Amino acid sequence: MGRFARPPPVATAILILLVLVAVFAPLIAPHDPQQQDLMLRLTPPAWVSGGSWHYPLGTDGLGRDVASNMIYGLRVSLLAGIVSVAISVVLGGVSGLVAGAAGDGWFDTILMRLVDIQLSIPVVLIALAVLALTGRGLGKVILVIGIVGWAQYARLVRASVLAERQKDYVLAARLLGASRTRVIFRHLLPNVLGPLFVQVSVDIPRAVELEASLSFLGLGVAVTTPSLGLRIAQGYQYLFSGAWWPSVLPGLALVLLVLCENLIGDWVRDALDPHYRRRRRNASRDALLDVE
Amino acid sequence: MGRFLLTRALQALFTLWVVVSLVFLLIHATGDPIAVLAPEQMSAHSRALLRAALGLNRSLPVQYVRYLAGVLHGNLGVSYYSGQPAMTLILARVPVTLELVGLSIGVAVLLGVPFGIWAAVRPDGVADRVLRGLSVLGSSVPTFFLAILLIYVFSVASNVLPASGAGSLRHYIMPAFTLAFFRVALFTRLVRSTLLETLTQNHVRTARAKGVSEPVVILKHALRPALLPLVTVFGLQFGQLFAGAVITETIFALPGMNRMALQALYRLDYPVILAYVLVVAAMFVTLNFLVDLAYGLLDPRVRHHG
Repeated sequence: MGRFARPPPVATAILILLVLVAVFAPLIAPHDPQQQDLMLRLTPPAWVSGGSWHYPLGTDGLGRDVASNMIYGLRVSLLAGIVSVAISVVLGGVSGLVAGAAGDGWFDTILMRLVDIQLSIPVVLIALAVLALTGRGLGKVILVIGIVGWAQYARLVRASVLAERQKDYVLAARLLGASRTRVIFRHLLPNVLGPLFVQVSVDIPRAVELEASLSFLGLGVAVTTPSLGLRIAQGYQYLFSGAWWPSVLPGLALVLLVLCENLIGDWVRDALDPHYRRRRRNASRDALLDVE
Repeated sequence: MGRFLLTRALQALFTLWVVVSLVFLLIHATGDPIAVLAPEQMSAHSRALLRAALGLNRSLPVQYVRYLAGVLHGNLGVSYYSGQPAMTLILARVPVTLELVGLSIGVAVLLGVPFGIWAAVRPDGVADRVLRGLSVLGSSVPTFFLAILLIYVFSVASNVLPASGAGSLRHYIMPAFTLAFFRVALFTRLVRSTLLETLTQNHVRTARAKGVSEPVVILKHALRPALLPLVTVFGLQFGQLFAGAVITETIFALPGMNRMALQALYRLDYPVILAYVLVVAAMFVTLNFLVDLAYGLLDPRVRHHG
């Protein structure tokens, strides 16, 4: 094995494919995801008897095309995953950087207490509470997931900065007359990027799952948004009459997306984090971060 | 030991106070229950009466102090909907949740620990590879979707298990397994990685050199230190278990406290939400305390250090 293991080929290929499908959704989707065809509601997928290729993966309880909703649902999932993690990175990164660079001041103390409290309450519960009170919508969901995720990044960046700034090269830079800001951005920040990237790769699938879970519980996106979680919830009631496709197919799309992201996350972790290269799959750290 | 207990108790009380206060602030910062509670056609006068009856006309600090005093007396007010005491409502639902959570922890430990040992005995063997694959899959299937798949297979397609309700142990099989699934993967990985580490340590080599049989070496000498991280994760997982139980109880229509809290959230039934938070926080604090005690029992080095 070289310095970096190669990325898992199948997972990478599928993820790229899923991203392309999401980006070009309007070109690929056979129907408008909102369009209802009540005469043909609960049409089974093409390969099941009674199905037709007009609706390749069947229709849901309102006669909407399941395939098109899955394609647009991937868009919502990826958007929620990427944007919310970006918000967490910015919020947590900046506060962690400031706390770490400032050292043992009051800001650092208060921030770390806040991080501890935040991390002791499950993310789902906080998000549920906030969304119940503010109402739903994709923007709000993304914002809530993003804000709730800050603590992990604040802790991570602060710890990395504290470790880095003890080192000789930082002292050398200071002695050469570099300003505090310059030390932070030119010297400390680049060294924090490795662990940060690892955390991001672990958090994106979690954020995707969280959006789906919140939408499933009815406190996520608005009813018309084609979120995979929401479509699973809407399709679930027809499960008992034997129509499995409106809930199971979007669910499989969600699992496929999260699975590929997780496999690539594992690879990023092994490739970038020297700690993990020595002790692969340190589950006690995983447990701190896991959501349902 | 007495000093240790006292410090812990004070820390626990402080945590409870912070959690309870945060929830109070969060709830009052974002919504007005009267807007949700009162029917459209209710007159302004009746609204004011209702507000006064619920104590919502007082200033926020006054409401807070009254609320804290209520908490100390075990009185959290009545549900805005059923009119019954909030704490009684939540406590009545606690047994169902405890059964669900307890069963799923049991499943997770009973499967996860042997799987972890099995994988660690022959690293990169067939069992190890299969279990690793399953554990990645396990952390990629959302709880709610796993529940739907199980319901389809065992209730709709084959009618083996009931899809909803609570009455017999059979009602708990699918919910407990759903909630445990992810943690089986977690515990397997955890036991595997720590066991691989302890198996290389000197005291294990010494035991082997003495001629101790391999099963005894693994179960007695290597597994015991490997259980420490398991206990830590166990404590950390508790909160996640309750979050997962919200989804599980909802899908399987189990009348537990998490489902009740979710319903209370939907309709801004403050007293019930607060009672729920208080109960969960109390359980959380107690469990962490027990985890600390278990630490001392499992690792003599931790004893007498607070």
